[in-house]
This record gives sequence, structure tokens and C-alpha cells, in this order.
Amino acid sequence: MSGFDWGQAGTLALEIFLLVLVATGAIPVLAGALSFIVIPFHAFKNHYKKAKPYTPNVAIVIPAWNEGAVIAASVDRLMSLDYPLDHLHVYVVDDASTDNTPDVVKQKELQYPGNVFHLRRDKGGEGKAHTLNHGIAVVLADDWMEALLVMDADVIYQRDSLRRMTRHLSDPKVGAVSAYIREGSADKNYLTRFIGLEYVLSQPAARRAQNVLGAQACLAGGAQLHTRENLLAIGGRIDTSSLAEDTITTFETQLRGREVVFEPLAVVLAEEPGSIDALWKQRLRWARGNVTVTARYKHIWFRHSKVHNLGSFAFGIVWFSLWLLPIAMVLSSIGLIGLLFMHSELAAQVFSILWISAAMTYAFTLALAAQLDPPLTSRAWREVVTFPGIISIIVIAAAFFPGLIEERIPGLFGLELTETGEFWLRFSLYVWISFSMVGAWIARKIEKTAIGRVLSPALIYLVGYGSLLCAITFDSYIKEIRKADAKWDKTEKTGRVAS
Amino acid sequence: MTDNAHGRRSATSAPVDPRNPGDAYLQNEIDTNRRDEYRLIGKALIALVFVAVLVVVRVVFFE
Repeated sequence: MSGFDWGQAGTLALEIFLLVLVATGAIPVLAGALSFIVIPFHAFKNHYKKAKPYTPNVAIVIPAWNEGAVIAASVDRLMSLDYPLDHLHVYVVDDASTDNTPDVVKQKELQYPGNVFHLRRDKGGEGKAHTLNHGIAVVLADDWMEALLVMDADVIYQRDSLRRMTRHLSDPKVGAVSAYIREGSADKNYLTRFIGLEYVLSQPAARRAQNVLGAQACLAGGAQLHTRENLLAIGGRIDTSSLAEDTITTFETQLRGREVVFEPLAVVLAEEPGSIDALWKQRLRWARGNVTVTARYKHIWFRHSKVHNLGSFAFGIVWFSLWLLPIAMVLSSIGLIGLLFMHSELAAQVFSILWISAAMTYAFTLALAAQLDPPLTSRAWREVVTFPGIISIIVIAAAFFPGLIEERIPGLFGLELTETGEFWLRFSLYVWISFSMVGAWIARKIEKTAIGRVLSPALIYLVGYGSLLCAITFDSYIKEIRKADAKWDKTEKTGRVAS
Repeated sequence: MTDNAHGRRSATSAPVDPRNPGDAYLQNEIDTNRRDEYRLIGKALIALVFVAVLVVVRVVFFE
């Protein structure tokens, strides 16, 4: 044993360990690539073949708390949907509003007798799920309703959207249908444009992929249509024990063997947060809800089932990649920096492999997404180009075009990087993926200051919208570890949606 | 010809009574929407070409 070099073995073991850390960063990239590569297969595997003309009796339940500014227009638009009026009931559940919501809804009740109904909860503020359940109990009290549409007070359904959803319910295997929630603020700013692009990526893109894979992650809260049978099968009510009632409803539907279909051509316009702070609160609620979902359904992940596809490898890897993305980013950075300090040649090689994979995935996803909703993405072209963040694009360029950042650009100015300079440039490139989340956090902190009004948007363009979402997910880890109160926190709506 | 959700012109003409367009119209709309999904293949190919251009630039100028 005297010839065994323990020092060399230790170095090798450490290198392997650091490589494993770097490899964690590749998992979300591969999951993203998998999601987007299957999208064109929606041409062959979609639900249109089984859809038939079908206009069941639809009860629309709208939870409303202090929605006086928007509820009248919402009801008017629902009453002008391209859908048989005698098959349409609208129930506005007024969650103990303190503004003029009751008066506005009662006026609409008189204007549309037999179609619009005002329901009042005297005890409010318990959250959307409680409010919905009040309306659902009324709707289920008689057998008129054949399908239930859950929506938000401020969203706008395009005229043909409901009939495009109901056609899928003609297939008895379908339990629920969701629509494309499209960012629809009239006064768009940089953040709502980023959100609009994110929604293109996550809905007409990713949810088409989920249609192909046969498992949907979440019915949109503002547009979920259930059959009566499905609603009764999941208990006749919406789950009230978590902040992720939409996801739990989606999972429960599929666990009982019913399909959930995403209809990309049923478009619903929604007002999304126009400030980082409001977005942070909304997404923190979603992220913490997903922690509940992940724990509650721990028995289904990566386990084959004849009843549903939620346990498929593809669905599981996509779900956990999104949820654990910030951890993967940090571990990947630690691995790269560790290899750099070991002066391992592997550092540059694995950095190139990781970021070239990321670059190709980003390029493919954004090029495809830009074509899925051209009116929206053409208005948001700046956000399409800078979606990964301007600094991340530089990091991508460093990996994809070797020598560009280290040699060619300094060479244009007659400069040459020293060995020390190259080391710290590489250090900066490797640490950036994690540090970008700090940039997003700073953008939120300074948003309400005078300088922040200019600097916060600039920071988000620099660090990337994805890093902002990762920073919020990271915050959800901290809140979970601290066991902070998980409160239902209504996203402020001001009626900015353009019809 | 009507505008569909993604800004394209769809092949189905507007029904006389939008609230009750009739089964034939609705079935035609379903068939049109199903056929439109084949456009995803072309869009994915365009995205792949975009990636291929990046790879070619790398191979030609940076290897």
C-alpha cells in the first residue's frame, strides 16, 4: 500500500464532488430543453380529435373582495360571450366587501335577471378558496350546473374563449380545462412585458408540452372549467388548507384518472403586477404553495401509475427543476469556483458545456416562444432579447464563443488580460449565476426610492427576469425554514386590463 | 375570416348568431384549430435553424 498516493486520491475525489455540484446546474437546463422539444408534437398529440361541439350549462363563480372598480365591466363582458345565454349563470361571491361591490353586483342582477346572482359572505378575508366554496355550495344545491368556471373578478374572457374550453368537456375522460392567461394591462411597463413573455413560455409553450406528456401542473386560477362530475369527485369544494388551491385541484383531478386539458386558443386577459414588490408577494405565495404540494404528494413523484401521469419521470424532473432551480444555481457556482481554485482544467471545460447547453436551450425556447404569440412578443421584443439578463448574455457569449470576452474584445482596445486578470474574470463568470439573484433582491429593495425608479428596471434588465423569479423562490426557502406565516395575500388589481 | 387568439386570420367565417353558431360551425372551428397546430412543426424548425446559425458562427469564427 506504500505506493498509494492519498493526496492525489483526495484531489480526485474532491474534483468528482465538485463536478457533481456543477452537474446539478445542468438538470434544469435539460428539463427546459425536454419541455420545449416536445411542443411541436402537440401537432399530433392534442385533444382536438376528441373535442366536439358542446355548450353545457355553465355556472361561473367569481370571488370578489372590493372589486367595485372592475366587477361591472367583468359581468358585462361575460354576458356578451359567444355562448348561449340560457346556458350561462354568473355568481358573484362578494367576500364581505367594504366598497360598492354589493351595489354594483345587485344592479347587474337586475340588468341580467336569471343570469347574474349576487352572493354575500358576511365573514370575509379568509382567502379565495373559502370565497369560491361559498359559491360552489350554492351552485351544487340544484342540478342545473353541468360545468363550473372559476375565474377572477378582473380578468377578461375573449368572446370565443368559453366555447373553446367547453368543447373539450364533450369527452367524458376530461375533468377540467384551462385557458391561456395572457398579460393584458393597457399601461404596460417593463415588468408586465416580462410577465407577458413569461406567460407565453409557461402557457402556450410549456402547457402544450404538458398536454403532450399527459400531465398538467396547474389549472390557471383565473380560468378553470370543471365538469360537475369532476367537481363532485374532488369533494365538491376547493382545498382551503394551503396557498396552492389551484394546483391541488389540478392534481386531485388527475389522481382520480380524469384528464386536464390546456386550450391554448381560449385566451383570457389578466392584469399582472406592475411592480417588483407586488410580483414578489404574488410569487412568494405561489412558491410556498408549491412547497405544500410537493410535500402533500410525496407518494406520487417518479412513481409509475396506470391512473395518471403525474409520476412520470418527465413531469417530475420539470416540476423539481423549477422548484429547486435556485439551489441548482448556487451548487453549480460552488462547483465551478471550487474547480477554479483547484486550478483544474476541468473548470473551463464544464463551464463551457453547461453554458453552451443553456445558450442553445435559451435560444431555442425564446425563438419558439416568440412565434407562439406574435402580437405580444413583438411589443416585448426588448424583453425577448434580454430575458436571460444582459450580463448572463455576456456569460453565455464567453462560453459559446471562446476567446471573445477574454481576448478579442480586449484586443480591440489594444489590451491583453494578465493571468491574474483572467482568473478573476473567470471567477466573475462562474459566480454570476448565483450573484444575479442578489441583484434582483437589490432591485426590489430600492424600487420605491427615487433612484430605484430608474435603477430597478435597469437592474432587472441586467440580471434577468429569470433571476428575479429565482430570488423569490429562494426567499420562499427562507420563509419555509423560518416557518413564517403563510397568509393569503390578495394581489392588488386596479382595472388596468384592456379589452 | 376572423381574428383568432394569436393574431392570425382563421379560416372560419364569423357565424350569423355568435351565441348559437350551430354544431357545423363549431366542428369546423375545431377542425381548423387542430390543423393549425401543425404550424408548430414549422415554428420549431425555425427555432432550430436559429440555434444552428449560432453553432455555425461558433464553428467558423471561434474554433
